[in-house]
Amino acid sequence: MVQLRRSAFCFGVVLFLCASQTVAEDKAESFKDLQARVDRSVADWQPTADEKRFDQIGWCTSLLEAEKLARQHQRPIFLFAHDGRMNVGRC
Amino acid sequence: MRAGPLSNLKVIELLNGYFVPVYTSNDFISGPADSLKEEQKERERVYRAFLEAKLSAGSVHVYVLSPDAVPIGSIHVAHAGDKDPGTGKDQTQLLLEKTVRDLKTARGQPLVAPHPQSEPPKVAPASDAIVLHVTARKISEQGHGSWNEFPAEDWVVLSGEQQKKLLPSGAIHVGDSWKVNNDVSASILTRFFPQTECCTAKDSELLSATGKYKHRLEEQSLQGTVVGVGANKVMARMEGRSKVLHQFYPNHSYPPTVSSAKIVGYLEFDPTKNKIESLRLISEGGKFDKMDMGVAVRSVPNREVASRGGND
Repeated sequence: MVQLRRSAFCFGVVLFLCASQTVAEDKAESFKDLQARVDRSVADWQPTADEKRFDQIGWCTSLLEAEKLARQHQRPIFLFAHDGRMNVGRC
Repeated sequence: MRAGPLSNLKVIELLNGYFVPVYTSNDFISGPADSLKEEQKERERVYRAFLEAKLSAGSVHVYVLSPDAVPIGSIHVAHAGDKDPGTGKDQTQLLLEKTVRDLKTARGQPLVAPHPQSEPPKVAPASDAIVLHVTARKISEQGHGSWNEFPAEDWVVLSGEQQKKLLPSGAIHVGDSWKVNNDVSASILTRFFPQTECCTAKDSELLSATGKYKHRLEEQSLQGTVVGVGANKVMARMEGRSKVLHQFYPNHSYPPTVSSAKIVGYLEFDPTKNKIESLRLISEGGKFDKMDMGVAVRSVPNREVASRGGND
């Protein structure tokens, strides 16, 4: 019984210390630090140049525009028909 | 396709140097209203022309047409990235090279200058609206397999009225906390899910609880705490959470995917004008089912919207 109480006490102390540390950490983060942390993740999760290679292609905005340019410049047309919105990755 | 043949540098070179490239979404047409019907009619003509020419055709398909818009060749999307065992080239590259050879097309400069395809929506310069850019990516599976190759992006426009509802009302003091209006936070947090199979370009369908994707913002909260007050500037820490349910494939019987995240961020605004100067939010410990997910929201500076704004 004594051992059980001691274990419960120790567990309580550990819990208290962890909680205190968390609060201290929260309080310790200045607005500047918060900004830096958030800005870092925002930057890390933006699409990379490699993920946006298809931006390097000079796309027409419509089939009609493509056909007009094709006639004018005697070039073949490449058409990719798809579902969703490929430009934003919802496809 | 975007991460496959359309990221192949040789394919990019061929498209820019010899072709007129265009991509079309099956349930979306942009451009002037008077040309929409004509564009739709032409898309249908091309589809029928390929069938009549005994070439493959479908809703998600690669087509190559002559300068006079006559069918030349086509590939089902499932095979567009297949490698030829002999040359190691993908089927798209082979079709483009064959077309250039057969037509003896002269190499030239791109006819349309390449530019970012994901652009902020147009917002009137005098408008008090702000534009938010949301990116949601799978982290643990990044780059491995379909729907993991790049993040999904969304653009959200908050009107002046919506911004007011996002900000605290009344006198503002350091330490004050407030809860963001649910309708406003929902317009942002409902986008907290990464790439899935999206067969529509319409948000009204993709984000509908009763539609094919059974999309629901099941849980959400966003609150701010003022940490600094200046003459024309208030700084606040933002915290919240989101849980989005979304059917991976439309009309599928699998249980919906679950995207959940704790949210942290910051807000800077001018209290005299109720105008947001900067809003940034990130997910912490975000999960898309069992995968790690990262979501980031950033307000887009007006100068960037003015210089890049283009998407309808």
